[in-house]
Amino acid sequence: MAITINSLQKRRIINQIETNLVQLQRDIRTNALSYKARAQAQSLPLARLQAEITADASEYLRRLQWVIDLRADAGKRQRLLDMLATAGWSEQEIVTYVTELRDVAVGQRDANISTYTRIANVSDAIVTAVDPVDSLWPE
Amino acid sequence: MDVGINFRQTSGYVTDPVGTTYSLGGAYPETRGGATFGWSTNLVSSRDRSTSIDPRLAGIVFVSSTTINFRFDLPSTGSYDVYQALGDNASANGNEWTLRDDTTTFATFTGSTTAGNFRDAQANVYSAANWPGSNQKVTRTFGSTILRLQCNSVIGNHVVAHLRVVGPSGGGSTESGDASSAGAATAIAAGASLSASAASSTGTGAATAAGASIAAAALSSAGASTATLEGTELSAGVESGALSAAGSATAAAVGASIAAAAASSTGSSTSTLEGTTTGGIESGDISSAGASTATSAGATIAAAAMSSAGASTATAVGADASAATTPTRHDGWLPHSVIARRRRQLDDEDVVALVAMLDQEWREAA
Repeated sequence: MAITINSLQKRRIINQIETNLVQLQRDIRTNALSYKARAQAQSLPLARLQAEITADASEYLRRLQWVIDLRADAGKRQRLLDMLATAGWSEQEIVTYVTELRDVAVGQRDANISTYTRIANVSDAIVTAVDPVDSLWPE
Repeated sequence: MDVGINFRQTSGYVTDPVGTTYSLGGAYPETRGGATFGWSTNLVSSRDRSTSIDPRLAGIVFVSSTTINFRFDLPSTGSYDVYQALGDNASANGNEWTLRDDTTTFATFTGSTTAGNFRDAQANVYSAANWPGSNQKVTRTFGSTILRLQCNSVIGNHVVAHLRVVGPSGGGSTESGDASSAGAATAIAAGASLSASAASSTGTGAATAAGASIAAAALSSAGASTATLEGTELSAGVESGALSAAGSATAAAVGASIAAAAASSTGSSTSTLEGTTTGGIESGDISSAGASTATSAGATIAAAAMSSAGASTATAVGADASAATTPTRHDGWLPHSVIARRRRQLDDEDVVALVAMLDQEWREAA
């Protein structure tokens, strides 16, 4: 017998979306700061740093795709909408959040990172585009 | 990929070696160092232990639950090498873990290690001083794209200091490795020094070996692929390498100094050996077939051999091409007039030989 999908299960999806997107915002910013520091110090072979930046961008897009895929599933999307309505949130908030993060991830993926200087410049642009996540306590 | 995870409590406690990053016990998903990973819960504990040992062993995460695992996302299915250090530099702790291909266990570890000792992926136990040079890997062909390090006991604390995943088939700053990709994928072997690496790609993929110094590398690509050897530092280059490309592919060896490289291409492909203006090509072989182009270009080309067939072009370009073979076509194609003249010449030679033989027989008979 199938388990009836209940509010606890629906809320789990909301929590996962929140964890994924908030943590992704933190990862993108923190990683960009790390790229810049290592580019300026030239502490890592250029090719290695380039590969890491590209791989990270690919992983960001993969994580965002989870949300996109969820919304493409009519049943799951409706359950998401039900829970969002209960909480008083709108789907558009999630869509906007995903879009903004995706724009940064695509920008990182396609950026000119052919030199350490360019990597530092790209990192600056990412840090400017992605604010720190709000927190009640210092992080 | 070649990514190591160093488990500890504080990110800045030590400097992570090249190719590694840290986990402070954060919940999945975290993306860092080119990989996505994390614990199945944020209810794990971590400690910083020592800054005077290998940074990979400087700290730990410890758990005591059979429902907790560390998840590491793989870029694709395939063969991966897994390295680990189960242990704690500061105290004795449990090593009850399993390595899993998602839900399938492929390695089980039991018992415990005393302070300052670490268990590798083959269950050997080494001191903190000996683990870096002695630890062994376990190789697994993954059917899933999820590696899990699963805690296997609820009794006592079970510790992990380091986990490293290399694959599919290698790369990074290791001394040898293999990378392969299929479809719209990219295989990259990159590092400060690649003493041996192999990369292959199919479909619309790209295979790249890039580093300050590439001692030996073999790359092959098929379809709309690109195979590239690239020495990025002017002081170093490609000492030897073999590249092959098929279809609409490109094979290129680019470096300040290319001591020896061979590139071949077929179909509508391009093969290139290119030494920068500060270096040159000491020896190289390039061949192309079909609608291909083979080019050897450098400030100095000491020796290069090139051959082309079909509608191909082979070119040696350099300020000092002291011993570069003249590009030639080897497809056997000749104008009809030349073929007819050669055939007539052969016929004439046959007639002369026959007359001479008959003349000799007549003389002997007379």
